[in-house]
Amino acid sequence: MNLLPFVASGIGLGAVYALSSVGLVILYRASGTLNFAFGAFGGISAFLAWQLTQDGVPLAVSSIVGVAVSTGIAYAYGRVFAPRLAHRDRVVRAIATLGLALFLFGGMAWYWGVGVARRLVLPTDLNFVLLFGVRLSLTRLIALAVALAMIGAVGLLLSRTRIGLGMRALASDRNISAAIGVRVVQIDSLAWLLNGMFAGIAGILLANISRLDPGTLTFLVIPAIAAAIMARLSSLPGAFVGGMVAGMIEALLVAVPEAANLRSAGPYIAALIFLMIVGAGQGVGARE
Amino acid sequence: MKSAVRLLAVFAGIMLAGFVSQAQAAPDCGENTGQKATGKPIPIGAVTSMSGIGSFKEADDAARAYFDCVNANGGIHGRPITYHDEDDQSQLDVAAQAAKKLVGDEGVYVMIGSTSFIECIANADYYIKQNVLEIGLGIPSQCFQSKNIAEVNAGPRQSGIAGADYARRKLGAKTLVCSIPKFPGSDYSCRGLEEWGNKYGVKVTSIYSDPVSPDYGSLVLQFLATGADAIMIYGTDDTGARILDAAEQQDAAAKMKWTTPTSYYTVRFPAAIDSKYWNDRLWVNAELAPLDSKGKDNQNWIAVMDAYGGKALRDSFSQAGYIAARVAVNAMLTIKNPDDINRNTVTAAIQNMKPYETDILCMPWYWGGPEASEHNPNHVTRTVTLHDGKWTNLEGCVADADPGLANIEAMEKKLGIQISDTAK
Repeated sequence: MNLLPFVASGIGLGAVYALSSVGLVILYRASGTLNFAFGAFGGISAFLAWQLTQDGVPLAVSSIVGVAVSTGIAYAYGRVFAPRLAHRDRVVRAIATLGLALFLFGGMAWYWGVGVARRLVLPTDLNFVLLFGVRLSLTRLIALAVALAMIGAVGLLLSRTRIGLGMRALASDRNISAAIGVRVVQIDSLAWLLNGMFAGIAGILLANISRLDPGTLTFLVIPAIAAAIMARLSSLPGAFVGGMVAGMIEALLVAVPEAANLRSAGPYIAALIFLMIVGAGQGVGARE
Repeated sequence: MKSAVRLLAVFAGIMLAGFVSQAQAAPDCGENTGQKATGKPIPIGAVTSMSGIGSFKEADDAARAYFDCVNANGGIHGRPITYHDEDDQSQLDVAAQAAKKLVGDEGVYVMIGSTSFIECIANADYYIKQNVLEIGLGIPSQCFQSKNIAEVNAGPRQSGIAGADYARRKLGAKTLVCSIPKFPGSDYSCRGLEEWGNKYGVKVTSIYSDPVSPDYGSLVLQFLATGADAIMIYGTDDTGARILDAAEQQDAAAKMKWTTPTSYYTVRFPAAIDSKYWNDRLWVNAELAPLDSKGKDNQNWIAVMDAYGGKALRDSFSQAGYIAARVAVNAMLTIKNPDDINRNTVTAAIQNMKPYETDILCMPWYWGGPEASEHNPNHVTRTVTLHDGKWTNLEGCVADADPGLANIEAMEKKLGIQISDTAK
């Protein structure tokens, strides 16, 4: 079987995973929190955008409102709850975000329902380019471009600004950074804000490429975590590549009949193999 | 004076017409006494997937609406029905626990309206041990091959074969893909299509997809890579709609004929896809009458839902839940003494019931007696398509071409059951 069409197909999903993975890594580097609510933030953004378009609001405005709300929720959590958990163990901080994820998921399921046939249409869905004989929709190409642009922008923020310097300082050593006057809460809150923004955009793209469903969007975080682990939760370019690899693997496994019905596990298996090859010492726990 | 009398007569006529039209709109439920039932409650249960890989609450909602209507009209000889439905979360262990709670703790007499991907797998043997019958909507083989379960729906195997057979008969398909999400028991449907293909000379390729993966684009590429003439895509209408979106992006309707089972035949589905692209290019099996059918029983379902159903979705699942509830009520009403109504007598009453004639189904719904070891009373169905954004009937009732129905057809011949006159 020719695998190239599946590589092309994996580009869109890979871009969403890459965007999500980068969003997770930015926050983890700055605050040491692995945000399990990332997918739920994205879900809120996508559902709000869809709801507003149903009510006649133009798609561009709806999408901006959706992303703004997910960004606002993330910022509020980063400002109100995260500082109170800052001195707790990383596992406790991660589990707290899991609680937030389930709360938001429950809210979406209650208000918008589960298993309801609905679609979030983007005007770019039916424009396409042919790649390896596959129609690659403009939406998927935009997802890739947005992922690359946002990663570039964050890279510039980290390397060229005082805020970026503060983020890098926190990532290096939180206690020393606080002692020398880095404004920890502000930097943390900004990392949450960026996390919410990435989640909001990824949520809208995934809702379009795949499915506008509370469960699908909330659990977007799971393959994104696998991709972030491939980047050892520290490297932004690594997170991007990890996300693209996760999307490609999921797409390519369709071509393997024995594994096709388990392909959602592909990103984890890839992350496990990666950790085994690279070594656990340089993996998740390396920054502790 | 004359004009005053005439005016009075006209007024009386208007009042009478209003009364008659009100009486016509009132639903027909049980004994129709208009009196609220106040006796000892009759517990009835359902185990339904309300979360997990699918959500199917519509049949429960319709059964509850009909029972509420019966309770407001004398109940079962004065005894009201209490309806308990549990969510199996699409998980086998949860489904087993839910059945034990309902049958063991609540002591339900019969299970009505259960709709689930997995419930029959978990509970078919348990129901036999407890002498409890179940009438609902089923998906895996255990729902159609158990002594104690008879479903109102035809089932995915029958519905898929009917849709595929339409593609063979009317669209000239010689090769076909059977696509279904992988879950316990899902191979029953595609195996049925493979058996049908062997009999009718259609090459069937089965594709089992990951129900969790959000990547529908690659799945469509996998379909197209087979080069098949047609496809039967199993699944719920919401995931199906997204697969069709991905298919549209590849202009896949120009490359193969797309058919679906009845789960896509919902009121919301046309708005969930690009109806212009799929206009006259999607063939859907319909196991029950059109939702707007003017048939007497279908109109009664609408009246019941309007009066007691609240905002519950009106779809094929809802029609089936109504039939399940109505069959159970009719059977229980044959038990003359209300004090004699218990699990054993309800089981016997349903097993020995007269076939229920309804215009919602193509054939009467029947149990087949206490000795019947398998049940598939609905296997004559219709085909519809999307035309101008609306469901349009393509052909009337056609008997299913499943080679596995030999025993069922022999039983029906013995019982003298044929396609309903009202459905022809």
